[in-house]
Amino acid sequence: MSNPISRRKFIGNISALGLASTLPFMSTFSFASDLSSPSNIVNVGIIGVGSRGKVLLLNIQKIQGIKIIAVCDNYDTNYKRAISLTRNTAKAYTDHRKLLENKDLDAVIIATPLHEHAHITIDALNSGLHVFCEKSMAKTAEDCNAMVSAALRNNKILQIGHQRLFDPMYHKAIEMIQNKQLGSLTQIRAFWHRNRDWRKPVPSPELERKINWRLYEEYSLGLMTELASHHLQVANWVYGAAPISVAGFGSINYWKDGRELFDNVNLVYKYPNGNHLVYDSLISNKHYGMEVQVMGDKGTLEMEKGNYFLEHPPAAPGILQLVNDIEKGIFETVPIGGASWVPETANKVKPTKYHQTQKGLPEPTELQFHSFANHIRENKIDEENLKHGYNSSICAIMGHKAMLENKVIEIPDNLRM
Amino acid sequence: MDVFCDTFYAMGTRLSLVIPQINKLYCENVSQEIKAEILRIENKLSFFNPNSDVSLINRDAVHHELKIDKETCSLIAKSLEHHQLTGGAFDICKAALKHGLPNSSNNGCESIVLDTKASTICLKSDHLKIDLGGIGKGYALERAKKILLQANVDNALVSFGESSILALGNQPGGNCWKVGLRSKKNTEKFVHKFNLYNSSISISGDWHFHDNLGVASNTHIVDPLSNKLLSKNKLIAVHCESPLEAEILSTALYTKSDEEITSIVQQLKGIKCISHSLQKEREVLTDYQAVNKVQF
Repeated sequence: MSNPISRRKFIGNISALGLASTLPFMSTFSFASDLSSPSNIVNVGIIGVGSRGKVLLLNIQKIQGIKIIAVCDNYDTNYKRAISLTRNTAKAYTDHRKLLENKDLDAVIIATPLHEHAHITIDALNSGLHVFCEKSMAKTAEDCNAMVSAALRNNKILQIGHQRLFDPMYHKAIEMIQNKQLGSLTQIRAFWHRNRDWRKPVPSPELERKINWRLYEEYSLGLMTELASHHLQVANWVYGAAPISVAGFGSINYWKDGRELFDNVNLVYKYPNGNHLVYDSLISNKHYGMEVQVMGDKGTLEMEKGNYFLEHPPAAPGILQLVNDIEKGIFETVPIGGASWVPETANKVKPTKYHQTQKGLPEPTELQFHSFANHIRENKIDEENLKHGYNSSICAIMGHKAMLENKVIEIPDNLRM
Repeated sequence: MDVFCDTFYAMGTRLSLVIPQINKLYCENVSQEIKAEILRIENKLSFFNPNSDVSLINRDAVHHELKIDKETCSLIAKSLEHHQLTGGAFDICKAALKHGLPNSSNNGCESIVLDTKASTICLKSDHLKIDLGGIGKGYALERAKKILLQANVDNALVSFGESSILALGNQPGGNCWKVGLRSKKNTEKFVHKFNLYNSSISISGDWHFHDNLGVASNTHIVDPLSNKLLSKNKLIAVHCESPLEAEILSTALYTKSDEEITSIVQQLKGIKCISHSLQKEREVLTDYQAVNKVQF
C-alpha cells in the first residue's frame, strides 16, 4: 500500500481515516496531545473476560491513554486468564460490585453474557462510572430503557460495542449512500451464515448453561442478539431510521441438541418510508458467509466486502461528448472505438472496490475505544452511538418476538431513539 | 436542446442509445423495449447459455435433423449466404474455435445442412459447433432500428460497444451523424471520419479503447484457413445501410488480404470499407473503394 498512514500520525489525525464526516459523534474524535500525561489516562476495568472480553482486553492494551486497572470474571478459567493477560498489573475480582468500589476507575468495559449487561451497566452508571457495553445492549426492551435512563440520569457515557460505526469502509459506504450514488434506496438484504454448532466445550455438565449461554433463552436471544444486531445497526444507519414493524420465522431445524434458541432465522423489517431489510441467519451452512447488500435504483453496495456495482455501465466518453454537443447545438465528430468495448474489469458484474484499507491502522474494534476514551476525557455524552446501540437492540428483541409469536410486530414509537 | 441517453450492459459489452428532441419518458419506454428485445436475442443466440437455440443446435443437431424456429433459421441462412459471398471468410462454425473447447471440429459451414422451408438444421460433422457471436450485435441493431422506426423516432444513434453503430436520421445540429476512427498512437486525432445517415458502421479487429483512452488488445477473430486466432494489428471498418451486413462483413474482411477485400467490396453495392493498421510503428489507412493507402 502506498503512503500508509503511520500509527503515530493516525493518533494525531483521525480525519485521515475518513471517519469524521458521516457521524456527528466522530467530530469529537480528536486526541489529547499528551496521552501519557496522568491527567489524560483513562482507567478502566473489564467485567467479563470470556472470548469477546479477551479480544476487547487485547485491543485496549494497544492504546496509549487507556489503562486496565481492574478485571472481573466469576468463571475461574476466565478469571485466571484475565490476570495472566494483564500480567498481574490489574486488580482481579470475581464480583463486579466489588470492582465498582474501586475509586481509581473512570469506566468499565462489560463483556459478560447478554442477560447480565443491564444490571451490571446500571450498577456501574449508578457508581459514577462511564460504561462501554458489548452488543447487544440487553435482552429485553425494559432493560434497554433502564440502561438509557441510568446513563442520562447519571450524565455518564454509555457506549455500545458496534464496531462497524468505527470502520472507515462503512463510513465510505454511508457517504456514497448519502451522495445518492446508489440512487433511491429500496431494500437491504443482510445475512450471516456459519456452519458450526456454536457450542463451546464444557469441562463439567453443570457449567453447560454458564458457558453455552448463547443457546438458552434465559440468557440470550441467540442469533438475533449475538450476530444480527450488528447488521440491524448497519441497516438503521443506512436508512437513517429505525424500523416500524417486523415479521419472521425462526426454527431449530438442524442443531437439535437441546438448545432453546433458533438456529435458523428469517425476518423482514419495514422502515417508515416503505424500505425493507430482509435478514436471515443460520448455522448449518456457510457458503454465502455474511454480507449487507444495499440496493438502490442506480447501484448496489456489498458493505462487508466493500464492493460497489453500478446498475448501468458508464457511457463512453464519445457518447457523453455527443450528448453535450447536442445540448449545446454543436455538430462535431464523435470518436468511436476499435473492436467492441469490454468492461475493464473483464467481467461485467465484477465490482468496483470503493475503499482500500490502509495497512498499519487500528482495527475498528480498537478505534471504538479511542472514541470511548476521548469522550470520557471531554466528558461528552455520545448520544448518537447510544441511539445506534439502543435501536439495534430493540430490533433484535422485536425480531425475536415476531418469530416466537408468529405475527407481525409493530414497533412502538417509544421504543425508538 | 433535450437529449435522452441510456446505457446498459448487453452481449458482453454496453449499448448506448442517444435520442434528441423527444420526450424523455417516451424515450425511456423505447429504451426499455430495445433492452428487452436485445436481452431476448442474447438469450436466444448465446453460445454459453445452455438453454439458447445455439446450445440446443450444438447439442442436438449433430448428425440429426433438428427443428428450429424461423428467426434462428433465417439468421443461420444469412450467415451461410455470407459464407458464400466472402469466399468462406465468414464462418459461424470457425467462430466457435475461439472458445478453445476440446475436440472442436475444424470443419466449417459446408458441414451445415439447413432447410429453410422445413426450418430444420443438421450438423454433419462430429463436434461441430456454431457460434452466432459474429452476427448477434448486428442483428440486435436491426431489431433496435425496427423498434425505433415503429416508435416514430427519426433521429437516433445507437452505439453497441462503440464498435457497431446504427445512425437514424441526423444529429440535430447537422445533416448526419459524424463519427471518427481514433488514431491508435495519438487518440486525440482521427484517422478517418464517417458521415452516417440512416446507415451503420461496424468495426472489427485487434484493439479497443478503454474509457481513459488506454488501448487494449482484443484478439478474437478466427482465421478460417488456419483455424487459429488472427492478430494483424489492424481494424476493419465497414459502412453500409444494414447493421447486420456491416457486422458480418467487418469480421469476414478482417481475415482477408487487401486484394481479396478490394475484390469483395467491388462486388457488393453500397459498401464502404476502411482498414486502419499499424505497420512498423506507422499507422496506415486503406480505403478499398479507391484502393488508396495513406501513411501517417
